Amino acid sequence: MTKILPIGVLLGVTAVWWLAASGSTIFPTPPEVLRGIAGLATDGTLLRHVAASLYRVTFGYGVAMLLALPLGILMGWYRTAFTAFNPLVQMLRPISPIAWIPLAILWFGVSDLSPMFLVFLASFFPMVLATTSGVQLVEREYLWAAQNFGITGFKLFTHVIIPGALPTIITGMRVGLGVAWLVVVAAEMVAINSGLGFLIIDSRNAGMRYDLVVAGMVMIGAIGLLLDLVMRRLEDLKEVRWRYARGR
Amino acid sequence: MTTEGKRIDMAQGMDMSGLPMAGMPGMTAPTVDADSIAARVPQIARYVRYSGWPELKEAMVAGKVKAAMMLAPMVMDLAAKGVPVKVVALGHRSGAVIMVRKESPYKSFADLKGKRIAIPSRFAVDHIFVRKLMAAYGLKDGDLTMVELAPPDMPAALLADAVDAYATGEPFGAKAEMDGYARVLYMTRDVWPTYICCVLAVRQELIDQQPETVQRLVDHVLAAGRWLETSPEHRTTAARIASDRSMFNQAFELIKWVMERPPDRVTYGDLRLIRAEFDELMRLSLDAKIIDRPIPYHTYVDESFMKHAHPVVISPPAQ
Repeated sequence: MTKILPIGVLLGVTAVWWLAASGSTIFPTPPEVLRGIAGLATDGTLLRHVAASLYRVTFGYGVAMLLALPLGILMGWYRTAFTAFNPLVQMLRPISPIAWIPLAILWFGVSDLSPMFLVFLASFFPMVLATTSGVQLVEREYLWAAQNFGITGFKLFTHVIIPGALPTIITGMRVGLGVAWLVVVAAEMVAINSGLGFLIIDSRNAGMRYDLVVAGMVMIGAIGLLLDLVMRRLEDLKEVRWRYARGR
Repeated sequence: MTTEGKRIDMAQGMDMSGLPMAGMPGMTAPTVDADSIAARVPQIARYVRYSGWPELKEAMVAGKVKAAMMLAPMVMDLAAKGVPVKVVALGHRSGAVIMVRKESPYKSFADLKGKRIAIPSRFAVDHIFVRKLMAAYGLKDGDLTMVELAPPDMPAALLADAVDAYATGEPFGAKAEMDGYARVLYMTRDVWPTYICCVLAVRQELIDQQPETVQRLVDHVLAAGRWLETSPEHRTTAARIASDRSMFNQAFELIKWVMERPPDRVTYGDLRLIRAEFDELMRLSLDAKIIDRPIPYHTYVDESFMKHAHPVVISPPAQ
């Protein structure tokens, strides 16, 4: 049942798409998109685009995670850090990566670094926020219990605060990864000839290659799904099962 | 639409290569097109600005826009793939530039071997311009790295040394020139004066149902072209009209620069449809992989309106 249900929904959506796209000049049907993907796969460009995007997203997201988690923990635990950084974080958070493109070009040139920077920006803030609130929401009882056992300092962090905050942090990491892929089209406006976002932009610039536009969308969606499945495995680790009321 | 005074929407694509950035300052138009001047004659057309070629193309394919300034190879490709659109006139000739840093040592295109050059997109006519120069100077595929960038981002990329040169439609060349850090390496006027970039394309149903509207549009486009070439003051007026917020929303001085330095940086006097030129453009597009098969001239061009053009007098209202 757990396998049939999602597949059924996907097939249903595909059927609706097929019906809606029949007879449209711009909107391609599922078989046209499949042919587009097959075409890209046979000439080897599909792998190149997927690899380029994976590389940029992984790097941008990885750096964002390395910086966002410590900053979030600081902001969640120390009131002063929160007061100091929160307004800045809130100001930078809603700015679309597209608006950063000119600065990205100025700072990083036209190279892989620019899209990585844009992915970094997009995924950094949701992770800071989630980590901050994860730490702030660690239940008082845990802290009292830790105090009773005489646990303080670094040990308190590693044994109580981090495990207590992890469920929220992991949700933030999942959101962050989703956003990282969400901005890949914008980020790869400054990419050289590769990437799934570039594929979409390039195919729109072409005369009538909307099959490839949707092919890019489908590939991004499929990769997003796979990555989220991996991330959800993290939630099953014993260390992060403190707060799940419902078993899955 | 036979009644005098009724208008059609005429869209103008911006040299932005697909960036959904409408509303950001400084992100606007290529050059003044004769069409945009004609569009100032209120009973002819209402001017609608699009911020990117793909958006404009999609509106045209969907039939939401019936007449538009579009890239010539794009119209060829659409027509070949069954979208009922035809070229009825040109908008301008020339108007593309190759820019390099002011202090750079490059003297000829051959000096750019092994360098990075930005183009708006591989489907842009500027790409063809670059390829034509590559052929002329003996550069082969791979001798140049072409980087696709939105024209508004090109000046900054050149300033940041992210690219060694860029090829684009105006005013994004003039922008860097005016700001003092770039110089023109080539203008189309020097090496390819008949260069065709934007053409006036209309949907077939407009031709079928309202041929007189299309005729009036073409008449006024031609008249606007002649008007632009008759006096330098007209070019200044045109720059003022085009710089308006409702048109290109660009600095007046910038458009004026494009119009005047030199006056044949962009030309409007000869908007004829010449088959040999389109055939050459088609071959070059094929060679640049912009289109994937040869497209017969009459699939995408309707010469009848140019043949039946009547002279009309226009006096665009100054702002």
